[in-house]
Amino acid sequence: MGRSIIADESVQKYIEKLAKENKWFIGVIIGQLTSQRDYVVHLARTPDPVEDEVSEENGEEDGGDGVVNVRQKSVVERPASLEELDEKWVSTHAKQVSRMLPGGLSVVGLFAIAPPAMLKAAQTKLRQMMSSVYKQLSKTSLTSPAAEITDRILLQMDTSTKKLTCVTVDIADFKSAPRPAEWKFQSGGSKWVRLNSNINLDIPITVPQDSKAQSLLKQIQVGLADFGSWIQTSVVTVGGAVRAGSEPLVAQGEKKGKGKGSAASQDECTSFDVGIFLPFVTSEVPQDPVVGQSQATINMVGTSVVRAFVSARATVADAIEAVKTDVLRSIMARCELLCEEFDVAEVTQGRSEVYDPPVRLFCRLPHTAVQVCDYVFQDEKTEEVKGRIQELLDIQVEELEEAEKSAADDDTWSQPSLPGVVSSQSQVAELTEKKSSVRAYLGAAVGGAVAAIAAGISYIYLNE
Amino acid sequence: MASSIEVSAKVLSAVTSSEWASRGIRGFLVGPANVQSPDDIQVTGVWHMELIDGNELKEDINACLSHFPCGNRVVGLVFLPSSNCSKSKSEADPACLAEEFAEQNGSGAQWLERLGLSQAAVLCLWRPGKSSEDAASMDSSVFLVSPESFALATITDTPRGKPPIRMRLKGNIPLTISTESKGEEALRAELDHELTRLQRHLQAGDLVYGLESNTVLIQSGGSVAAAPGLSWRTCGELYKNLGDVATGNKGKLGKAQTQPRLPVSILLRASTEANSENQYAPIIRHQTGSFQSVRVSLPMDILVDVEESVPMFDLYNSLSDAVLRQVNTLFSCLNVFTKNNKLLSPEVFHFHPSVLDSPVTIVYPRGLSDDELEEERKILHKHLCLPMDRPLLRRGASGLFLSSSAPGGYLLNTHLGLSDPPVKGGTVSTVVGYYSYHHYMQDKFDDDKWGCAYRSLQTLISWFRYQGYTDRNIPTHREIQKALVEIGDKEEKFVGSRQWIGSFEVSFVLDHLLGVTSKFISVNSGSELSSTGQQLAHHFQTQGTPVMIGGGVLAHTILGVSYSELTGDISFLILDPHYTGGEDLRTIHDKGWCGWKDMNFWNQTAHYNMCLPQRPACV
Repeated sequence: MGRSIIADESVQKYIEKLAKENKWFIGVIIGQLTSQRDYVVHLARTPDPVEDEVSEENGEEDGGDGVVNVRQKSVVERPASLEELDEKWVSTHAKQVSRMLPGGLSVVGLFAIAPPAMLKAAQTKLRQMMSSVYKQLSKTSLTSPAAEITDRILLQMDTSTKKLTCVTVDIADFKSAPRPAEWKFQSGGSKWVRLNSNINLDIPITVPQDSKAQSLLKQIQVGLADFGSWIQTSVVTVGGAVRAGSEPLVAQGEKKGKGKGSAASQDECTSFDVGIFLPFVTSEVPQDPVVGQSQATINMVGTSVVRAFVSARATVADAIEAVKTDVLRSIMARCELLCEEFDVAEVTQGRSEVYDPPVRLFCRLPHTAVQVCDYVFQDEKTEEVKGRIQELLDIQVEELEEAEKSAADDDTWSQPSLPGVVSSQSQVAELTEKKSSVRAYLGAAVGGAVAAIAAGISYIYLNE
Repeated sequence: MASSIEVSAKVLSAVTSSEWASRGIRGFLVGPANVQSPDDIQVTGVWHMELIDGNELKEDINACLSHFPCGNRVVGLVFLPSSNCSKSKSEADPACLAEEFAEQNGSGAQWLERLGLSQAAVLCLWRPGKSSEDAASMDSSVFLVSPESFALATITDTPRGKPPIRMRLKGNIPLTISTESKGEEALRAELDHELTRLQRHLQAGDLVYGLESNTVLIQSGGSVAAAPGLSWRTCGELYKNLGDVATGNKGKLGKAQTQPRLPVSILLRASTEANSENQYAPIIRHQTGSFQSVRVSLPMDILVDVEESVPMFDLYNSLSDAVLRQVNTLFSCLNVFTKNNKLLSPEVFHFHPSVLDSPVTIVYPRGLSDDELEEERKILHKHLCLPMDRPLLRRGASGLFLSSSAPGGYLLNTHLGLSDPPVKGGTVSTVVGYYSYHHYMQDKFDDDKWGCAYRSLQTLISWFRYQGYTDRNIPTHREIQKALVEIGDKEEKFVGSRQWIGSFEVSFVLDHLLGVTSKFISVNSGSELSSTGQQLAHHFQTQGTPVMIGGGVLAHTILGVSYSELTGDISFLILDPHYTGGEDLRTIHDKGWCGWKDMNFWNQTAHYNMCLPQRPACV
């Protein structure tokens, strides 16, 4: 039996809107895969590669910035058909969207809307696109749970008949044939449960002398692997209790208005506070110290907000998985964004730098009870963030919830004078005792960040 | 009415037979923290140390308690009065003693305040007068100190009512220590830094203790996260409930084994309350250069003995106190044994010497041999009032009391659980310490009909190994044969043969492999063995080693003797190496492979030689 997919009503409206434009579209499907059924909350078309307005801005503000110049060169025309699509264009979009999703939600597939002939001609291309999207997404994820569902959705609409075709593709085995899946719209939207937490991070990373990882991002990613597996073994309490994974997260009796589909139910979202506990493993065999030479030490310290959404029908295990995913995805998202924005490779030997990655904010995904997030650098303006969210998710958002406080927000932010000082939560605060040169450094870097965001459409090319 | 204080006979004997250098307060008395009746003092341990002044009392107490199971506290002091306050004078008029006590170290009330106690025991020791027959041991009396009084108390040794709930907390806390310069100073600074970090976590209540495969989490403040609907106020309730949960296996375990320790894990609470003041989004510190990075882990391993009545809140605090103490101990071990910029992993060992009532926990640096640690052990023996002529704290002697079998699956101390010997009015003297049962067909090696003396020798050697005298493995038949060839007792072809060995070969091998000498008792016929009662009893009381006996075609191990001087009745505790079955204690007991045997057991006409290993005097 194929997968059964339930999409919110708003998704239907979105598809209908795009279908009317008489153009072809490609984009990502956002939702949740579960062993029972899949939920789709949103579709976001991949933005067009060119918009004049943005190119102008690039030219004006960042003429001297080499990176942006390159970007300008790489701006290309929107291809005439799906078949001519650059796979990277879509996979980069998918990666950026993925960062914007709280735990529980992910890019569960791709959609394409095109005239029948173009669709037919692009079938192979679409399969390739699925492949490159999921290769890209797995590249930056820290760990993948063992029992992960490997089916992904490919939804197509033929603009002449307005007929929807839905199949699933097994990304663990691209050679296997796509399987037909059932796609249904549901009025009123699915019900969601929100999971909240904050996690204290204090992750020491050493980069071995002989490390093959060249870039800082790669070094961090390799270094975070241990932490990633530690998080996977963590004990997660839900609402203060240790619950059996197979239990339904919300007891049947607690669900209300089931099947009613009233508009009000969208706003309702049961929420749980979750606790995350990292177990210290024991080994029967005594261990000797492992001594190594390293070329760098990296330490990630601070508190990350954790948020996840799962279907009201989810099990406790689903909820826990979503929380763990959020922790790891958010850490990686911050590091990726940081490394994309700063040219950290230029750090001189023996230097010590403190970077503040962008901080997380949330906003409601319109017409749903779930939220999406974004990461914002210092000095980025609200309008710029909203603009980016609109660009990447194709939604208009009103309110942004700033869920975190940047260490650099404090105007006494400074670089610690002694090596090895920053490694505990309270010491982040200590960092802020003296003024120093880092402020200037950050200021300059943030300037670059602003420019990059102003670049709008071409933004997504940054990651090539 | 004179109050009474429960002092374990073993502690009293250890304290009075120990060497005490001078006068004044010379140590702590340790006992269970009884929350229900805090005035009820039980002394189950002692820690001998120089208390220079009160300034470092807290550290001294922590250093002391780090060696005892969590759930203990300091309940009193050891005091050596001057000759002005003799035993008889003090007992008749404790006020004189109180005065002297106060003169040197502050009044009883002040000490109670320092120790955080409402009442405390003061164990006074006097050097024995010349008239005393047993000059080796000291005279003692116990006084009860309360804020108002200093009164003589009677010593009782009534066994405690309910056994405590036993747990064992384990978890490896990983540390990454990166230093830029090669100097040891930098390394130590980093160690200090890591220590501070852990201490902060502990102070913040970030550590959480997990039971039942982490389905029950004991959190700061004693709140318990568990399956919905489960809640406990005291350890007793918790234990009972968990017991119910785990009943699946309980029946099978049987009652013969000691009560297993409930495993407890350590977790780090990573999640935190939303938005406290000093909470900032993650930052990344990046430092390039040339570093030496050391990954080492703190192998936390804490024994916990708590009363059933202990509230969960107190349990959390005691566990955290114990964790903090062990963290400090492990770091101090890392610090002390860091030489030439090299770290040695600390390792935690638990011992339960038969001369003590309570297990003790010691941290040794991994990588140093027992010989290199002799000085450490001497200091520890002194602290714990252990005899200085036997190795009770060598690594090889650790942990056996926590398991029912020895490494390799051999059964330990198979005689435990046997019914009493059938000798009326007899004195029972048995092996002191641990041995493992070695018999035919073990180690996938068929030695049926010829290997009994080899197996008996293995049991003898196991005793030396498990008492820490040696860290060499228990030799195989071949290794035993090789040893005999090496000393020239046998020819080369003996190796690999199925030739028997006797009592003398056993002693040669003990001497060659362990440096252990043996005494012999020989009798011309089995019937004469009835005359060996006194000698054997003396052997078990002074040496405590298992004895090998060979006669005719058979070899056995003697583990003890029950002998009545009055009637001459005698019974031997025999461990029979001819057993060919599996490691099933029940069969071994029921079929008499380990059991008390009377004179009929012996071949009345065979000549017998006994090999009585003499333990070397060492620490």
